[in-house]
Amino acid sequence: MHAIQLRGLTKRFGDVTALDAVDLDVRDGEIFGLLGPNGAGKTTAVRIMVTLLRPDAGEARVAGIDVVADPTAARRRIGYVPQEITADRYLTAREQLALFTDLYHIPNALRSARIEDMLHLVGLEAAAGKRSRYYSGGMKKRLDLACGLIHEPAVLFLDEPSLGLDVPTRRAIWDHIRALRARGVTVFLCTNDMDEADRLCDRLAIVDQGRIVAMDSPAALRSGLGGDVVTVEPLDGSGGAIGAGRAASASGADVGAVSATGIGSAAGIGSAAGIGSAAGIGSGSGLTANGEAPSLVAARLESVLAGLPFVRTTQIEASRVHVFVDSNETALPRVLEAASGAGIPLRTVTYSRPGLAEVFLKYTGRAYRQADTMAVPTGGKKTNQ
Amino acid sequence: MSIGADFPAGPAPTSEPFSRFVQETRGQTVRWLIHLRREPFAVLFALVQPVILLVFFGGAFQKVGAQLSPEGNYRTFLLPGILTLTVFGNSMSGGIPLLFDKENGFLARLIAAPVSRSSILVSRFLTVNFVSTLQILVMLGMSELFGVRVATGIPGILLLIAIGLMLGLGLTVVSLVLAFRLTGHGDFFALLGIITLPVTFLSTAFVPYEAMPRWMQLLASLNPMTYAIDAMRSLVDLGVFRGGLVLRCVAALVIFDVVMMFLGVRYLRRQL
Repeated sequence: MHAIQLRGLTKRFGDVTALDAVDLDVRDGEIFGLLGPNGAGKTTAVRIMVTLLRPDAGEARVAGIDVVADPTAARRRIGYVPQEITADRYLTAREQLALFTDLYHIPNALRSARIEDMLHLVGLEAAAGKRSRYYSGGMKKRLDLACGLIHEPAVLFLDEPSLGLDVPTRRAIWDHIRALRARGVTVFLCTNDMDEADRLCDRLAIVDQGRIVAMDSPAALRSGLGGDVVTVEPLDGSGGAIGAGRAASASGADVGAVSATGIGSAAGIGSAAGIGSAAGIGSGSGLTANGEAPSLVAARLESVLAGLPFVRTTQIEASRVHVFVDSNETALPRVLEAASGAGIPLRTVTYSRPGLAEVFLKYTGRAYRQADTMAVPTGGKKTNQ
Repeated sequence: MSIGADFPAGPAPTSEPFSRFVQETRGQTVRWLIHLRREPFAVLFALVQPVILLVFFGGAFQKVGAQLSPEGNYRTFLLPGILTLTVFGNSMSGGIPLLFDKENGFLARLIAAPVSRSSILVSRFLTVNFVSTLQILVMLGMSELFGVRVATGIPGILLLIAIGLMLGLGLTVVSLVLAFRLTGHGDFFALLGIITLPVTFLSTAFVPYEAMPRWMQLLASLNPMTYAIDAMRSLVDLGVFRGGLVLRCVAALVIFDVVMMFLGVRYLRRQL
């Protein structure tokens, strides 16, 4: 059973392709996450699925209903909680839930029981008679959640459910979302938060520039990388102070690279670099093509490290070299030895157990950053209703 | 490529289309009325403002405008204009809460709900014109204190309110279309500021039709405000329904409403 099925879903805003022929199946009853940086196309996908936006091509079925052909039927089966806090500050929680019972045509006989049920579900009974202007951010978000659930939807769409909430509140929201899964609701959420995607989702799809670049359970995505990551950054021959300046310009160039690839044709190169034996392609085309002065030192360091027997794969990103290994503990000293053996001084060394950030890096060839807002215009008439 | 439907078609709607429309409109109207109740000062100012206009504007122009009314009271001449101006202001502002809803994401939720688009319009119309009607009643009461009396009595007052509602309907539609069309409330307020004065002066609100130059007469005759004002004025100061005039004005307002509804609903359907 598939709660959501997307086939070839495409949406363009002017020259920008926000969604590029996306295929996706979400199983009935799972928590499915769409993970990607801002501008990757997540919100566009959700807005199409909740009938707020028409796709340019492709098909979207939610709970078996074609959302373009029969939006009203789809709306009855869909719950939608946008990323903004939408709680009406003049109304109490009970009044807002009452409003949503009317918007979803819940019969009068069921109304008050349903409202109390929702208040209980999100733990707002005590504050139910207070206007939401006096609520904390977390309470408002829980109220938004309750309003999206009042008609017992088959599929609930959450756009950035924990955006801007503090840590305990995020945990509480996650617990509510898990409780929904226990009730049999399929939850589709989009997030740019690695941690949220990792802890909450049964499966997730990583999106970048309107395409799905990887899809699996968080654990499987992580284990697909294998082992740990050591990241080294060479000190440029010209010395410490200048090295620091270079690092700054390198990160500037990195942002430039993102917008350049964001526009179109280069996207293919990015993913090819990610999937292939990343080393060569990444360092060759990735850096020089962007007009950045190629970090020859980094490239040389990479080729040295790539030749080591315990290294699974390497990847170059800006002036850093990521070395994928089985174990940080044994690899770290040998990486340092190899670098000094090749006469390359290092500026920084970091190591980590791979998380979804590394997964993102592997599949896109780019570090996971929030600067990538170029891909989708956020204003504009079509997206702005 | 087609996808097989794994799901049943969803719960059949439990009620008839019309009772669904009533329920969704009720829900939204109750929301707006709660807003009014919890912003009592805004409502109070809305009630006081036209009275101020009547008292001071009427006082200032009493000498020059006395001959405009049969009893020599400029306020009698002025009252219909101020009533109409009030309806204009309320109705044209009718879309503003939707602009705020658009900006904070609530409108997206509303549109993602299975509600008919006209319920949004109807709930705004009911709320706005509830306020307009209150204002009309308060102003008529205040006018009594200045010796201005609706010459046609209670039936005249009822007809006067009905004319106000007719003008309000078309203008509410215009306002909602603007709310969807414009990107932010800054644009909306700017536009409202620019059009209010010309629309008022290109009507018979302050000056009779006969006293206008030709080109103004032409524009005034295209202004729906003129028809509401002329009909109300006939009810207020002439003491007769003067069938022909009131009827012609009502017909003009009905045409205005029908055209605005037709264009507006078509536009909103396409948007949502």
